[in-house]
Amino acid sequence: MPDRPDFYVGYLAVPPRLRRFLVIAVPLLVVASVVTAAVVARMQRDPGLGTWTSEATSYVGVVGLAPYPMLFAEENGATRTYLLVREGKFGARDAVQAFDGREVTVRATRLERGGRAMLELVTSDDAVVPGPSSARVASPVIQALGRTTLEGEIIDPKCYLGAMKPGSGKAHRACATLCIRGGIPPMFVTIDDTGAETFYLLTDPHGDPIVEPLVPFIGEPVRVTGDLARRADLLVLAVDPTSIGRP
Amino acid sequence: MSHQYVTVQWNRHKRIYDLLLGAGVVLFLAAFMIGSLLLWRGDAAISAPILIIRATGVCAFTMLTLILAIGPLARLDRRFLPLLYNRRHFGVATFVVAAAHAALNLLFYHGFGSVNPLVSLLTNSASFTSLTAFPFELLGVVAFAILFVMAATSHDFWLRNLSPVVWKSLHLLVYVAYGLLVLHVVLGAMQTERSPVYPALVLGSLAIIVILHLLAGLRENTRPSTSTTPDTPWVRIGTVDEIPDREAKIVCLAGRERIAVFRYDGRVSAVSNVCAHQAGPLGEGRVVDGCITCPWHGYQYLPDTGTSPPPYTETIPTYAVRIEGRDIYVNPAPNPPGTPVEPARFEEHTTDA
Ligand code: FES
Repeated sequence: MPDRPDFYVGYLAVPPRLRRFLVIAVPLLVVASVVTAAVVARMQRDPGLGTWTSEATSYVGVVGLAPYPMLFAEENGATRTYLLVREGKFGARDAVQAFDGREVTVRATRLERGGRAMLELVTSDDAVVPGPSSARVASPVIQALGRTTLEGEIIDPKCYLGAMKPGSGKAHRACATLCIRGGIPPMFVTIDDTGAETFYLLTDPHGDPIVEPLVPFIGEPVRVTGDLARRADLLVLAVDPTSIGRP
Repeated sequence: MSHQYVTVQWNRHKRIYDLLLGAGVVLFLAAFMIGSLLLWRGDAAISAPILIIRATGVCAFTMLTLILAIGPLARLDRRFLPLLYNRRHFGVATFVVAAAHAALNLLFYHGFGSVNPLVSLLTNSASFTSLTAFPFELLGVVAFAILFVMAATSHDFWLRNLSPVVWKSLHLLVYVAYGLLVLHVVLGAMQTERSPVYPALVLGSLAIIVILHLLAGLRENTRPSTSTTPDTPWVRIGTVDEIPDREAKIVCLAGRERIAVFRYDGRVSAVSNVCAHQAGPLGEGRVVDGCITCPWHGYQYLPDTGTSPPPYTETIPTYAVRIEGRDIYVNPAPNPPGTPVEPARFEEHTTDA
């Protein structure tokens, strides 16, 4: 029977006809896989325009501890609020605890996205030093804006603003949970039709830090209701925990 | 072919196979990484750890899809058999890529925090009842554990020591792993990624695997089958003329293991269709150098004794055969593995087919 299909035995020479088939089929398979890789790479969602400086610089401002550690700096005649965090997935409360209401100079790298900025304190001893002035300064006044309902995502701003790109969504949920539990201030981000992002710092209804009620809803589209307030350039939402739900 | 356990038994084909496999993996990862770096640049760049996590995840899933496709493909078209030959190295390579995916996830998503990364991985579950909050990581963890066990027991040493039946059942868990990985992607990345390409690729891969298996299974079932007549143990399974020389006819009898009836050099012998190595279909093999040769990895057996030629010692069950005219009769009661059976003889040159 001369034209039976070739029989392949791994340890013997490959029959010529089979070799011809394999020389075409195997590269085709490889090419198809590589094209798949390129297509999937192409279709990844936009990671956003977050940035994170690699060099640490000095920032002067007044420390505020409530509800989360912040630095109020005077820049171009206006107050600019920086959220303060430490290296890794940790908030900076310990580092600035002693300086509430005081002017300090911090050395930090800066994360920024959509006008919202955050400072990661350096790990050395000079991360936070008092001065240059020793005056106590009142922190910015709070302006109430009323009851508000928002649709967006609960995020850990450290990753979202530039530490991880993208630092949002389902795959990032566990990381965001660690960050928020580690003391990084939780934020809420909404995105309008033009793609513009608005950030809201989240607190509980009394204006205190909130963590656990948020955890089940991190990293997915949710709707929240609460009392909105403005504090310098920062929007703060005192969220009603019972209002958090999938839209 | 057996018994002297070395780390890996190499030959030229395995080397070429592994070389191509390695090159394929490198090309895949490079295409994903370089493509992403070119498309997402400057302030819009995707973080490198996340890129590698994605590249290895997509690569491992693609590899597992290919592995599962090779089996039915080789069934449907024997020219794919060379891809099956060293499939276990494909499996081990998939495990390695999946391990990179898992390790980077553990480090970047679950590390640098206040709890042990493993604790974070296993306890960050939000809700088992919600699609959007389902802890998809756990699905990946279980699938990875299965891949680990399979990679760890892939060597013939385990095949022999676990018994082929246990080994084969263990390795069928790969289907469970694949199902878990489909859910891992659907309930994980796909909850956030909005491009329709992702569901199309994941569900398309799943559909291809299911369809290939159905087609291959259909083929098996349409093979000729014969039934026993009550008063005699002998079953007529066909004529010598319908079996190509040095090949076999596979016979399915109700309630029995398949029998491979080989014709070679004017003789007919019947043995079990199940290879002692990994249960490959011997009846789809050939008689090469006087030995029945398995189509999967080339294990060999003498047709009349069901034993591997020395120095090898594998054995398979044999069956009594006789020929009346050109009709072949088989006694469907198997002899113990390795029992010599006199081949039935016929006149080779009177073939009128
Ligand atoms: S199954 Fe591996 S040689 Fe037969």
